[in-house]
Amino acid sequence: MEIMSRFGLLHLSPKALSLPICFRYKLPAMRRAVIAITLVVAALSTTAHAYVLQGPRWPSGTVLVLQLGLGSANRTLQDGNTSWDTAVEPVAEMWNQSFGRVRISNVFNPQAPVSQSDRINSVVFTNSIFGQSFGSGTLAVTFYTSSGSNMLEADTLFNRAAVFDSYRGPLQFIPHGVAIADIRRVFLHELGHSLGLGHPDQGGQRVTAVMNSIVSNQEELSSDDMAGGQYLYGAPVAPTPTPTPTPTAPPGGAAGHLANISTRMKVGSGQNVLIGGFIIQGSQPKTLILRAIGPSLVASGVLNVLANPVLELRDSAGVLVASNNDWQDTQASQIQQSGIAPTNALESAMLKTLAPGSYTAVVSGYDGGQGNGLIEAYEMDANSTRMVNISTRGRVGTADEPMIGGLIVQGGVTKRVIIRALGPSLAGGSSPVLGILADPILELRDGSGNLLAVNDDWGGSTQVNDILATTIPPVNALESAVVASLNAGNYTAIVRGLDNTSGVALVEVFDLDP
Amino acid sequence: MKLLRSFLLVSCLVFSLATIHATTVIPPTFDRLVSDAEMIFEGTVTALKSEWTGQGNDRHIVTYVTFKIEDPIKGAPGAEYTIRMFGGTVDGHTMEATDTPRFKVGDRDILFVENNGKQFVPLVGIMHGRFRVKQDEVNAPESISKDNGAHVSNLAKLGTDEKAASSGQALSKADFKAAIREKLAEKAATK
Repeated sequence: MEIMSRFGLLHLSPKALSLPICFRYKLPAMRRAVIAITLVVAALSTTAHAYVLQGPRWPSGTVLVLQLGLGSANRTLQDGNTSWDTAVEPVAEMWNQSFGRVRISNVFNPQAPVSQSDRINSVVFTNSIFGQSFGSGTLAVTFYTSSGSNMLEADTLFNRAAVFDSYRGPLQFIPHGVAIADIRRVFLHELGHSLGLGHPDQGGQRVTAVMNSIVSNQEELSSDDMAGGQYLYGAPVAPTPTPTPTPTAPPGGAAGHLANISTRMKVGSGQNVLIGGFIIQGSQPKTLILRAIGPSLVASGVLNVLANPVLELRDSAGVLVASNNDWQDTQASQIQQSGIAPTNALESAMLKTLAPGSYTAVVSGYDGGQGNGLIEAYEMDANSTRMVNISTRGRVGTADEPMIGGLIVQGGVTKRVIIRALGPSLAGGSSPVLGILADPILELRDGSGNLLAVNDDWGGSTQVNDILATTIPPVNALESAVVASLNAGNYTAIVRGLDNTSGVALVEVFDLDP
Repeated sequence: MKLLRSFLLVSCLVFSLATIHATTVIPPTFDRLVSDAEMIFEGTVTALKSEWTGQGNDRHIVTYVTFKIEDPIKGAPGAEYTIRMFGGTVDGHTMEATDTPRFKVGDRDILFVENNGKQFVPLVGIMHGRFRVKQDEVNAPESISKDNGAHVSNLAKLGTDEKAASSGQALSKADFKAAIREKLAEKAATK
């Protein structure tokens, strides 16, 4: 039986690895010595990377949801926080900025459980580790479970008996010399372990790093820490807001309202086509432009695009209202004049004035084609009739195929909305959907890609009371919801599957304002 | 006098900044290692066995590490002694606590054991309670190193300045064990 080594792989930068190449040639002894000394000095004076890998890592595309259950500090900490959870909250984003293929999200959950097999990544204070004591002097322990090379779960347990604070700047010490444990610094290190990094100094390296086994004045990720993160999970990429052109501003529209919805995802066939739904509420008709985009997504860096989208608009009874294959087939001049005509002739669009009611826009591939596509709806007028609910159903893929819903809020006041990500509940009802996404995770980001909110299971959210108050909480405990008051701007709602799972999901936005 | 005060202040600051501690574990001083350990011995790992234990939320993997005792220094470990460690691999499923020592058959160690069977890693200061015995060259005296591989040269600096504890000539195994026995004798004399 083999015990897995914590430090199974020592990775050095190409600069360090290049040293032996310099000794391919036979040189006189003295000259060899001079060159050797020069190379060693050069190597020491540069920032050679020395990060150490523990072995397992999270699969690409994973959303590593941390359930923060540290609770109240019952006092004001040095950095002004009164909760341990808010004190450590920024740590996830500090790591997120250093790599791209995995995202870390926080969820506040006062009841975060500690179990090795629940696949919940808990961060909690405890009195013991599975009934075993910490031992004196132990501040925190991170343990993980893995199968093969895949990380499955990582929990960080802080010793309830230890003394913590939260502060910035150099390490602080109590008068007789013992350091005051800065919980954020400790968690920054522990989360590095959760990601798969070990201690460079215990691999015999000498670099500045949060991941060194000795805590120091280093309170931010060093270049070596970030290089380790990138080795595991690739370079960071700018978040990909849904590529939505700005719609024409409606004249005189001061009140906040949802002006646009767009969703990008892989368009399949059968039940995996992309279905956008919206409700028009008011006393007057509403003029919209609907677009189905595929080929032009390449310009935004999207791969495997839907080559030739087809767009259908149906009313609440399922009756076909209109359809379009290529936008120039009909209404070409009107769509061109709107300023938001598709840029590729194979894409679809339609300009429609619709009576209040519920509608669905279905995007499929011409002749059964599949690929990443985008559905969009733009308000083209500014009367009092509004789109109050906009939703998209489709298949959430793994890795680089999440469902990305975009919305634009226009007007001078904030717009209060609830965003829901549904999966399990789609399997019920009169039209059950097969292959549903079992456990969706929902992220809300602003137009710059900054994370505004994240939720795994809505019942575990700190917003649970707000969600219940909307009267439209998800019906399944594994589904997700976020309530937000949004200023004018662009937003994206990203739906992924827990543990990189895939399936059919629905993301929807409800306007909560009267 | 003012200059002296400034010097002392700067000295205190330098000392305090150098007094750094492990992220997860505050390393114990040599005095604490000896006094807190219920058992100290030199031994060789002869067997490892990992298995699931506990029920429900407490279900986890433990690894039993058995040592052949070469030299009992404190306590009475007998001819063979087994410690229970958190973590291990069973049927391809691995549980791992970072910062914990990992043993393999043939390892030779001097261990400072506390709370065996009750503590997730039953060593004083977790990884700091394990010292590895090594011999760099044939016929060279055996020396000791910490769990992370760093040699030990200055026992007085353990737990206060880990870098200083490893700078200088490596302590031999014989000197290390003699220092432990000397500390034990001191403590016995002061009782």
